[in-house]
Amino acid sequence: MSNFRLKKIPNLAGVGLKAQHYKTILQEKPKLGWFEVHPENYMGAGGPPHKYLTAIRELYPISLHGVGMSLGGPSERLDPEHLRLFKALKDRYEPWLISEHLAWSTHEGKFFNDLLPLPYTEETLNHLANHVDEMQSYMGKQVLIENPSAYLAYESSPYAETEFLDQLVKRTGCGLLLDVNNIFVSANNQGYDAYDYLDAYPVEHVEEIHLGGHSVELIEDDDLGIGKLLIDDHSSAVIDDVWDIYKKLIAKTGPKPSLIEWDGDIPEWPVLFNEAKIADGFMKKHVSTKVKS
Amino acid sequence: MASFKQIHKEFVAALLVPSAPIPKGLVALKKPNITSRFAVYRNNVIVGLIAALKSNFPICFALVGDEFFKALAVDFIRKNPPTSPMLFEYGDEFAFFISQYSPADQLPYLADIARLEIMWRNAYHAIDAKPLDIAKIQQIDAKEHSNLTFKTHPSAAILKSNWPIYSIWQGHEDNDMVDIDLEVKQAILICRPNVDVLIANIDPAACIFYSAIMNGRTLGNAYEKAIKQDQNFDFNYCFGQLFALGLITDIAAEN
Repeated sequence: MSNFRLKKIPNLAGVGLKAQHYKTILQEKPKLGWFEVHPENYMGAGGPPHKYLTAIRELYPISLHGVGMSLGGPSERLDPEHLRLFKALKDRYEPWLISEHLAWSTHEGKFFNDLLPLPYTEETLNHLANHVDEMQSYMGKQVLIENPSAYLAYESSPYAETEFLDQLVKRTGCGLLLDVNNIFVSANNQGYDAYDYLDAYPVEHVEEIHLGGHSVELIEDDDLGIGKLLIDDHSSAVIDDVWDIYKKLIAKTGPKPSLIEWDGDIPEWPVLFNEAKIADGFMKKHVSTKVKS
Repeated sequence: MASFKQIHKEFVAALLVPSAPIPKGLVALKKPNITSRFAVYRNNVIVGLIAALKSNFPICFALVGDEFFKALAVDFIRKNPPTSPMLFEYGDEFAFFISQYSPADQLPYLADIARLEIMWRNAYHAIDAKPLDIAKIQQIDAKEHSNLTFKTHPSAAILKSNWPIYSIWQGHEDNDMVDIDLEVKQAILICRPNVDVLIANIDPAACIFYSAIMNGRTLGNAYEKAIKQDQNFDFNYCFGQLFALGLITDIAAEN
């Protein structure tokens, strides 16, 4: 069904594919490990999006990173039409990795275009596990699940997020996509230590890493006075604090496919490409330090 | 604790309505400002969807400006949230909504511009098909031409309006909206034979001609209908345009 042979994503940096960069990528063929694609943008029947994605897929391996499956949604089954369209893209483009979120975005047929939070309970875990099973069996492929960025949490959440993800892996055989910026954002917004989260996280199941920028808003909380609320908007460069967590992470996992996400105020290609090179630099340094020691 | 379904229901009820109560049981830090934090979700949803509409309806946005568009979009979003994660196709009901939206009464052409933008988007994402070279027709004996019927391009569509929609579209392309005569009624033909979406301004006779071809009528029949509308109908030009615009993908039959 596909014109492509499966092409492995190397343990190198990649970037999120943006329409603004199609032409530059095809002209310059930059030395980059891979591209990540939001399948929702390629679910039309034809036209330029497919033309460009086909040409880029001829040069690079890709991953499909869904934002609309609503795995944490309340319906019994996933949306069959969305599954069908997602699978058609998987068959057409042979992505090396497929991922989705630990979140929900759809309710009674309405799509809210945001990754909304879940309480981490036994009920949620059963529900999520059923949806992940359904998606994996429909796709015929392992799906990676990404940790959300959060502004709030549920009071009644007996599982820690890290434990919840670990349970999800055990029950479904899914893999994990660890978003380092999301750790930093959620830890700040909920007042915990990002490194404690990393220590508790089941890093042995990480198949992909995300890196991105966030913005800062001031918020007046009742106990801390004016404080910082971090907004996960993927509209700027990765900050040093996030790179630091990333370095700690790859010290544990070794080099992994690492993606730069930049979805708003999208920069010129060289800026985005440079972010990817920074990630590659850290991975290279990690490997050479290990060889020496 | 509320059930999984109840939690979603309460969350959603508060998402699109700023005055709605915030769901219970949400925490962060010790004594957080839950309202400000919940506002991030509200803001993400509404700002994201306004951006989607702005991207899908750039001419409408340019015509009404930022403030008006935002107000229009927010009203629309609350009434018609997307039903699919494919946001590039969000806004099918936008044209009808505008036609019923009283603040837009002063811009009676706005709904048709939204229709044009929906058709543009449909053409952009339509299934691909290769246009037929006019040479294929020229190989057929001219005497047979009037009996030909055609397969037309999946992206092809016609929009008739009581307003100068072509001039407004062209004005937006050229960044020059002055001197548009609002008394003029225009129809357009849209097609995307390859990468670019093409838009042609078509007069009433040409509109009848292209519609007939798209409806599977013979070339002869399409000509007769068009000449009946306008005895000065320029057949040679319109016949050439069928191929120049990539409207014909195959000969369906030689009857």
